[in-house]
Amino acid sequence: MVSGLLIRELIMTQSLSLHRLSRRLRYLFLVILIAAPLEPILFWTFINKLPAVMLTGFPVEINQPLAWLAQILGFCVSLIPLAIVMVGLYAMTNLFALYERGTVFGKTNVACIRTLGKVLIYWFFAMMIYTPLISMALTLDNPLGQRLLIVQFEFLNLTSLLLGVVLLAIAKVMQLGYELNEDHAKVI
Amino acid sequence: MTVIINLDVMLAKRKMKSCDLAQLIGITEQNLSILKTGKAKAIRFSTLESICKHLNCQPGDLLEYTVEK
Repeated sequence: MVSGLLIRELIMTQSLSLHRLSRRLRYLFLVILIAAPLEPILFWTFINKLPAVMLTGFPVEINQPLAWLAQILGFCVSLIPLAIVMVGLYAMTNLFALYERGTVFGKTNVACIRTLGKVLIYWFFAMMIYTPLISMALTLDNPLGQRLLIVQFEFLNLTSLLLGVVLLAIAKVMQLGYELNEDHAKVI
Repeated sequence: MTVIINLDVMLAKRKMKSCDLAQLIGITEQNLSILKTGKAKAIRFSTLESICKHLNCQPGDLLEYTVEK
């Protein structure tokens, strides 16, 4: 009887801490989700005024101020990874909202984890096309013969592909967990 | 479902309310309602035993098999 009460109290404490942690994480991802589109807008608007150290993340070196067309093209290309990141952040916000409500093995949880897995897989393919497109956009102003089309393969992107596949497998296991939970709820 | 639960019939015969039975056997009214409406997927022996004890009946009085047409 006493151990039963202790277990119940432990479960209550743990679910309360899960509720708090989930709420904090949901707010965090919500703030990042809202702020995420601002970064490329500000970056590509003020790219010519930024210090050189902030322009090192590209496959090509930026030595001269970019023309407005290159800026617009660069911004458009940067929307590809941004869209994927935003879908991922939205799924994370939804997932933590469900955890906050105490839904751990729900149908929607499975859908969120599946979306996250797909996001990681799409990220791999997005990066495959992002590098050639951004290198084209940034070297468009260069004279003929100096325009570049770079195809790059990064190990980190392969990791995202593998993680995506693992998350899809976890989503399948979660689906089984959800079905078991549904069955268990109907055992009286 | 071809196994029918005659819990509501037994409750009427014993003139007992669902909420009272739920309290006596230690399950929620919602779970008892799931059982009464035939939405339950399974019933524990301990629950069945408890219902039989408090309604003073046999499992056969509660469960009835009918051939599905």
